[in-house]
Amino acid sequence: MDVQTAAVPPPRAGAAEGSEVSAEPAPSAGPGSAIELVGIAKTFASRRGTVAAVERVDLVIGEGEFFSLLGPSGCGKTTTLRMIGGFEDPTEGQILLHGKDVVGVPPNHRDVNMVFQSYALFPHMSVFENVAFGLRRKGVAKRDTESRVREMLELVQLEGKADRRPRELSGGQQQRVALARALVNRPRALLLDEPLAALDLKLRQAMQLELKRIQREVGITFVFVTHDQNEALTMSDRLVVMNAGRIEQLGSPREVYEHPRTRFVAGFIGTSNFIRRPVRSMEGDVAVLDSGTDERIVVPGARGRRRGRTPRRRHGAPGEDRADRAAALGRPLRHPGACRGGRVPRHVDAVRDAVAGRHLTDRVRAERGRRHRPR
Amino acid sequence: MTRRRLRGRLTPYWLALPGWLWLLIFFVIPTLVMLSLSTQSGSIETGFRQTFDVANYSQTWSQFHVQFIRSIVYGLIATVLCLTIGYPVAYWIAFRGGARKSSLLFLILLPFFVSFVIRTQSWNFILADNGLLLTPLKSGHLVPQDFHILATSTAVVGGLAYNFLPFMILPVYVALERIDPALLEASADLYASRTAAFLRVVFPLSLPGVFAGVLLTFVPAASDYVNASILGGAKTTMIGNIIQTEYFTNLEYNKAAALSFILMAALLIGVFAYARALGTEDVFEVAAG
Ligand SMILES: Nc1ncnc2c1ncn2[C@@H]1O[C@H](COP(=O)(O)OP(=O)(O)OP(=O)(O)O)[C@@H](O)[C@H]1O
Ligand SMILES: [Mg+2]
Repeated sequence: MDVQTAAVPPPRAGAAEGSEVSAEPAPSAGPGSAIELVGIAKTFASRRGTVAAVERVDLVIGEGEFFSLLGPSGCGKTTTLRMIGGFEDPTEGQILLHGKDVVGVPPNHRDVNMVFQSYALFPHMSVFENVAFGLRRKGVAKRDTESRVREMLELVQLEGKADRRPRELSGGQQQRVALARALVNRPRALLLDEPLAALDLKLRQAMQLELKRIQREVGITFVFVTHDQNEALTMSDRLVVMNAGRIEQLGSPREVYEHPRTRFVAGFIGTSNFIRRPVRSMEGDVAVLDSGTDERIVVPGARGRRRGRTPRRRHGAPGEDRADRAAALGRPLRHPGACRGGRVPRHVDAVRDAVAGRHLTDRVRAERGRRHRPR
Repeated sequence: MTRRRLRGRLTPYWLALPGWLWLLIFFVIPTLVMLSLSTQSGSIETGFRQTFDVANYSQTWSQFHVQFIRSIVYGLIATVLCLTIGYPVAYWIAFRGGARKSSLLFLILLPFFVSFVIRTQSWNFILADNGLLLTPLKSGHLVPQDFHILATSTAVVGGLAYNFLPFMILPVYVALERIDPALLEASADLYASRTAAFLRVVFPLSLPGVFAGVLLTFVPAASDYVNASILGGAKTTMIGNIIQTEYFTNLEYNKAAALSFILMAALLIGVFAYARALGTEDVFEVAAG
């Protein structure tokens, strides 16, 4: 039986079909990489010493990808994005934009544009002037500027508002001006820092669709920062989950949702209970946990997480290896055959969704049919 | 309309009453008294009589227009000086001040803890012909022996600029301080050089502060008499000094009053012209937004 109830809407279909049990390979960044972060770290000096905002982040974001940085407040998402935009220099590591190292290059010389969380629209300029700002600074011819701005305002459906001041617009309209102001420059990548955070739920959902539509239309790489898992799961092609300045997991929304690689990810995405029980036996690909009662808890091996030491060597299906390396924090529990000498892991963290009204519906899909009958 | 609603509507006016009374007693009535005085004729010995005569105006104007124009010019130069010195200071404190902002602002205000007259008088000591500055320069033969600074227009304008500088720095600082730093990042993100960011974003957004600063320095500087009387000489007399002399020394109250009204009218016209030219509505709109 397939019991999959979740507090979170299931991720968009199409990320990976029919791979219910085995860990899917993380879709790779695709042919061209737009942005590469190589071991970047950022520490801030503060009055009481130093704060490590980002620690050793490695990432490859593909051309044309909708890529999200997801994580709780203070995990370093904004700092990461600001380093890509050039507003902060990394303490360590390299940032490659389309293959070129840009560390030390100021923002006005980077081919990326940013949509700020507060929009940062120029209050003393009309919508038109706001959108034209970048083109004018780049010295684009007057007539081209005019037509490109009009075109962009049409794309974000603000044709009639060109002469308004930002103050005279609603939050959603301001957000679209901010988007148009960045996109009109045809950057090779667009950085968005929680652009929807200030909007109410309804507008937010509308804007999510709008953003996706625009991204598909212009085909530009989007790097999207959010602390809202819903948003990240529904919008992204791929995403990383960050915690305390590190990457916890990288993958498609489906992969991150269904196969949380670390306890943190499992706790952050969806609503979960953690059940830590010794393994009684391994039956094929599933682990049977000692529940302490007569009930059996059955966890598909690849989805539980092994606690304790990692087997020295394992054979994974092709692709798994890469996925693992990308987020080398948690090792998935494997089929015992994959472990050398057939060792059986001792404990498993089973991750389950807790849904109101039902006790333990699960995300790892413990099979209820295989219950031990009392002897 | 019910009585209660009427009472509710009137509440703001009741609450403003002390303010209105204050204005009436300390501004409107004295102004009317002075206005009436300015159209009286006579002298302190013969007594003043109301004759609704505007001769005081034409007579004082033809007699003192040099000092009038000089005051306006001094005021303008002092204001420009304050702006060119004060704007960068305000900018620096607002954007580079960091944790020291409040201490820096306190330093700007520190001279105010000493009386205006004493401060100006100490400049007199410094700039005097045998004072702190010129004595060493003269003994070193760096300047001619008859060189002097006091009693020149430089000294007066310098004194005005010195005394009114904080009135420029503070409003400009407040305006700059209110600019969201994200706007600077946004302009850098949109390919603006630092100069372009300043000219297109920072400066236009600081205009309300500049506007306030210009008014706060120009109006008192143009009507000041302390600087001219302490640092100036016969050739740097400002209209403030004339009014003071007419009133307190010559006891020609009617002429002093007429001069005051000419000055007031000139300043008001100047201020309104300035507001129109700058498009105050726009300025205040930015300030509000
Ligand atoms: N300029 C700074 N000086 C000192 N510490 C900073 C600075 N900027 C960020 N930090 C610290 O770095 C950490 C990461 O900050 P960051 O803004 O990247 O978080 P975030 O993931 O964007 O959080 P949020 O979702 O709340 O926006 C935080 O602990 C923060 O306090
Ligand atoms: Mg942030």
